[in-house]
Amino acid sequence: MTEGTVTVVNDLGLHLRAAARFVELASRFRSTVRVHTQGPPVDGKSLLALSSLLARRGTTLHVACEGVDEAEACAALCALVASGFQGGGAP
Amino acid sequence: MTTTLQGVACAPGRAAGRAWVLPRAGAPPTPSPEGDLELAVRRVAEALHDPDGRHDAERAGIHSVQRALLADPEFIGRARLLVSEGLTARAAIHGAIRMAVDRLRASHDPLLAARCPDVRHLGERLLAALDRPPPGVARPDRPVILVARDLSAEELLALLGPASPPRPRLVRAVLLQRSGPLTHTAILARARGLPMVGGIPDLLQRVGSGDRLLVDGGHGRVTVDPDDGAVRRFMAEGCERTPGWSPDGRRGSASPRIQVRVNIDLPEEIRLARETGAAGVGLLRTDGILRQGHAPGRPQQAARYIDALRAWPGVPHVYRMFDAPAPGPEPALGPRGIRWLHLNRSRTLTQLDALLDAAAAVSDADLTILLPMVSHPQEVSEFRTLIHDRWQGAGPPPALGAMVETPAAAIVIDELFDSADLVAVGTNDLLSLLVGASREDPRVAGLLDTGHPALWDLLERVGAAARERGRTAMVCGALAADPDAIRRLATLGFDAVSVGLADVRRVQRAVWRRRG
Repeated sequence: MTEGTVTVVNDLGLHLRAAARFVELASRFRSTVRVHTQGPPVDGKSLLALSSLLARRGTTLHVACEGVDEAEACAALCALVASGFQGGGAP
Repeated sequence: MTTTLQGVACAPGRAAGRAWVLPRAGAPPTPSPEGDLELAVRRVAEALHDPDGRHDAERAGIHSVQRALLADPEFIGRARLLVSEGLTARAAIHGAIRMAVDRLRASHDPLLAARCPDVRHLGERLLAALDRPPPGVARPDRPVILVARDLSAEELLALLGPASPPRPRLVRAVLLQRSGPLTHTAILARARGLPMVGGIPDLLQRVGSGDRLLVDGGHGRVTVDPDDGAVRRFMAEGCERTPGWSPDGRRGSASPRIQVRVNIDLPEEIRLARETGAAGVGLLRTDGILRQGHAPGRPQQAARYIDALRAWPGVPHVYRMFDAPAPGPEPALGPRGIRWLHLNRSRTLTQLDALLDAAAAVSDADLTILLPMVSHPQEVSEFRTLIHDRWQGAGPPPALGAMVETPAAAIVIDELFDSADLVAVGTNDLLSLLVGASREDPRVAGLLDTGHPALWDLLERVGAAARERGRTAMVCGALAADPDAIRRLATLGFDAVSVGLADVRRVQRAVWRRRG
């Protein structure tokens, strides 16, 4: 498993459209993606689950990927969050 | 000549009118409901696909959210689950959209709540992408009582149109040769307040278009070609103006309070139930989740119980363990209810664990697990021990209830209350066993009189025991929807009655009138 930690920097936080970008990117990888803040981890490929984290600007996200492409997945997803969900983050 | 047909009560309510036999243009091709959903998902996904970036940023943002939902296991996965449970694709999409919207709203985050229209719009796209309603469904041109061999919920929906805006009701009642109370057609009929009788033998041979009919959905009875006196009596007893009920509140304000709760058949009906204004869920029959030969696993079951508990917080929820459909000619005497639960231990434990998981996950839930067809106090005390052994949540485990459907259970009510926090009297079975007359046999149905002194003698015992022990006593079954009976139940010490979705408003009005 590869884990990464990244801080949400954009003003709106992990709102629905940002979460959709995250999901879209996560879904391009074969690894499972789990994300958590304070509570239990949620499925990083589920929009509803991710948005329920209510991650605002300044929140620390813990991203855990597991599978054949876990290192790339974790790096790309952390980069996307760090870019304020602007980056393309192509794998 | 007047004839009476006895079928199976599917949805309560009464209606008088002319028969209209549904014309069928051959057998309509019925695509598999699962196929429908997948086809709709593919069509919408294609429409949302925008490889060249032609859309502006706003549209692209909405589309990316909708695309993500289409692949979201918690959205489309849920719709697939509902389809696998037997819902139509249309109902499953509605269900999944509602749950997603509720979830966004529950976050109390204005940004998320503001995106609800995008989610609803996706639902509309999916519904539009579903195939049109099956061909061959005609519409009547005047108010009628619909008569058919069989009718799917989808077809009934096509005939009724959407629930809002309200429109003149062309279908006053539904009579089917097949179908039973657990079908989705029956659930839809109950939700829309439409009387329905199913399982009427030789219906199409005995009723033709234009025949005069009286329908009593609550008793599963149909009168064909009634004489004028019968029609007058039927109209006089009409549903809204209940017989013998005077609005002046004769014994009015002194009567104790009694709650009106609601019966439902599927967790997804909880939102309809909430809208009725009832005081809580008096009875969730889980038989629709756990049909014979189809048993969802513990997490799948728990998820549906959790959804139901969260969807209506702050009220009591009484969920009944699987009550096996009665086989054979003596339905009440075989391995039903708790007897079946004992014989099928692994399925029983799966359901119990799922209910306990749900109670643990929704810590402020007021959940009672209800045991059907109890006949011995030991059956309840054993189950209580089982709950204690398996409960892993913080705080006390959920409450335990017992159905009083056998005379034995009513007679040993004191011992029953040693282990049970609540009892729910099922008056239909209790009366049938008490007088020894089958509910299925019209030749003896006349003996099943809810005014029978023996029944009231037992109800008095139950009410007194509940009052003395400070426990909850409730009545389900036909008696619960009879305002005269409710008045008597309240004075006997009963705390609540539980009635079908379509009956809540009427019974509440009667109860309130009495109080005022």
